[in-house]
Amino acid sequence: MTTRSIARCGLAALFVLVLPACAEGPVPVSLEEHGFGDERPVEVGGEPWRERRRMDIAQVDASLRRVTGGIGWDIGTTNQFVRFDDSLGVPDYVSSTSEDRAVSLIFLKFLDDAARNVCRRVADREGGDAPIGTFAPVDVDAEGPAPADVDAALAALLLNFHGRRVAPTSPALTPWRTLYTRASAEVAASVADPDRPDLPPRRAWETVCVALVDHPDFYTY
Amino acid sequence: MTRPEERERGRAKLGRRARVAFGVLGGVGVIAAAALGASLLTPSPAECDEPGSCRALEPRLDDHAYLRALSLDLRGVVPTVEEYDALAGGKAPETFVDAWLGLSPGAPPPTEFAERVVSRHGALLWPNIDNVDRIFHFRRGLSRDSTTAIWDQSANDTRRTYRGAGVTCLDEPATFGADGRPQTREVDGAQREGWVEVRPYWDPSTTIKVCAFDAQRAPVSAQGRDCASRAAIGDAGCGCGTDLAWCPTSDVRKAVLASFRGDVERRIAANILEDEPYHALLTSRRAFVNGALTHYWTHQRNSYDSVPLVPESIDVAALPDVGFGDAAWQEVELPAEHAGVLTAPTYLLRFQTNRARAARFYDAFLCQPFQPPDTGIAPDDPVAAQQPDVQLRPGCNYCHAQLEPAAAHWGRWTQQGGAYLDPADFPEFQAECAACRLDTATCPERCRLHYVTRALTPADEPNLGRLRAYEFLRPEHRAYIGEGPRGLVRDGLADGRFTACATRRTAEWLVGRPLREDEEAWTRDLALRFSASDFRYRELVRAIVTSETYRRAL
Repeated sequence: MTTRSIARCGLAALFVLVLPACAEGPVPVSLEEHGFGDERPVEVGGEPWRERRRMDIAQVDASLRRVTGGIGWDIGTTNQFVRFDDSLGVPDYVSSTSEDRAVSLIFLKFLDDAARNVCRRVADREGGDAPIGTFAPVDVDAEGPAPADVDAALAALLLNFHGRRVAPTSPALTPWRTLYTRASAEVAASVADPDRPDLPPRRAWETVCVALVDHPDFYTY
Repeated sequence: MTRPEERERGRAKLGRRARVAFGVLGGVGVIAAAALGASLLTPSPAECDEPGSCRALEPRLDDHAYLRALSLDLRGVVPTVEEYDALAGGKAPETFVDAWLGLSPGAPPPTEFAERVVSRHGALLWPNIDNVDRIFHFRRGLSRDSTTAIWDQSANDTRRTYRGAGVTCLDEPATFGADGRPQTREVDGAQREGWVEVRPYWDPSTTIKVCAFDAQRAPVSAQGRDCASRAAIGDAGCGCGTDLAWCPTSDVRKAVLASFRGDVERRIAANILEDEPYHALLTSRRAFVNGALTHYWTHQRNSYDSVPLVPESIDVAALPDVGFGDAAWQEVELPAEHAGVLTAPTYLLRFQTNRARAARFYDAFLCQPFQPPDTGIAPDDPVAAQQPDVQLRPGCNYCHAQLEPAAAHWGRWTQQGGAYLDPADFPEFQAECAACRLDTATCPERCRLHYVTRALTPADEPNLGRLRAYEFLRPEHRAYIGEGPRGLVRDGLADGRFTACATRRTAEWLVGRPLREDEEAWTRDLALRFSASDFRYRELVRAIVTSETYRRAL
């Protein structure tokens, strides 16, 4: 296993427990329908409504740049949302005339690609010479930041990425705090693990950023 | 759909969404690892075991979520943190709506909203003509040899015209005879000349090598042909003209076709930014040109292949004097026959038959798509098959009794092209075209292209020599040809179909679903307000996004 692939696996472990999979090789995945949702009806009334929708690709592109302070899914000078617009369901008005706004597997795959690319650069910018405070008040390279600062940063991120205002003491932050805590633990563990490269603390914030972008509250409205 | 059914559908909706969102995320597995992590973090309302961790189950959006939806629909981007903070500070969401739509005093032009409207109209106008490169003649296409970097018109027929074989010129400077023609020498059976240096119109800052025959600049050949026209194709005495002005490259073709689309996009944006009546989009004489379009109209319009835009309906002499590379757009006024985007080259080339033009208009702007009945249409029988008039032919007449008169509004705009046939030059009947039936060899091109010159059945006989648009047209429909597409817009406005459809299309765009029958009263009220505002599109959008319907998001 090369150093690079080890690094990839280590980062993936921050999100889910896939490290064993990296170590043990491919793991077969069952394709049957999983039982997400609980089938319980929800009373929403009978008044007219607006259909909650997935952002179109132009909205995703623009919004990603806005929440990151100008960083988009670009490789070189090529906007990847433009490069892959056909696969992403953007109409060309010859072979397709309306945008496919389904939350499809391919959309989620590309969104995740975008999130990983963008959030790495956001975290590196914040840890570099010209941070703009995306994760304020936390210093992304600080080890063991004050819990109150972490909560304040998470609350600000939730507002910026999801338009959701919660108090730093809100239980709504609990899952995000848990994610950050687990990611930080993985980062710390990498220092002690001779088989894994050191991961700077900013990778934990990068993880939070990716999760925020991949979350339905970001790409639907 | 009844209220109870709607409610039931609403009940099922969130549960289904939860299954879809989380099922997909779960299925992605390691591909969307982060998404999976996120899905575990924030369960859907339907499965929230810790209410404090979940969003409130309230279909009516809170101010922050409402602002986010407004911003995405009206500007295409999420709000800034500062805007959220202003909201928390007491600023009403409606205040943002007025600012983003440019309706509040002193608000800047709503350029972001205009871009959203442009994007939205893509689904109505389908403005892609990238594949219609036959407005250029393939034999005029310039390309660069990758080895020698010498440019020439690389079509084999053109090379044979110049050199007697399908080869390019020699990689050496050209020499010229006393008559000014390039001198050649025989190489491998071909008469090959050298190259000359030219500053091409697409980039005058550079000098390129061009085969001397291709770089000829004479406006008229020794045979008397106009070298700027397609008539000169195949005439060895004609080249590409000064600075190669008559010959496109692949990049030039793409730039021109993209610019035609840009023209339509700017017309839509201008309608919004200048707060004009929405229907002016379909009746205005405004157009926009940049350097690429100006160059095309000035130098290349006459070298078409099979899709002509000539006789052109634009005052070429009045176009701004700009170079091909000038990206700035300038507004120009078109002749009186124009009807907004409905006669823009992009529309005419995207929909190349008058029937297609009318059908798109009926669907997009009158909400009346032409489609067969659910029961289907009867198959042709031998008697019906003899009826050449599709307005009468059983089965066909289900759509064509209405479609043919509608299509007649584009009767003076050429099909498979976008030229305008001025009545002064193309009268309804021409005897010389009727005579083509007897002598096809001498039949003028104008007759073959635009007039009925053959009668396949006795029913066709009365149409011989008539402009094609008049073929089988009822007497009561003949005026439509003179009215042009403006007549269709006028009729749609007069009977309310246009207003109702514009309202419906806009509401469906913003609420993201087809409207229901029990929402007729709402849409009728919206249409009345739209009409009372003199068809200001921004007012219509404001009325929709500030409604309770919009704010309830499921």
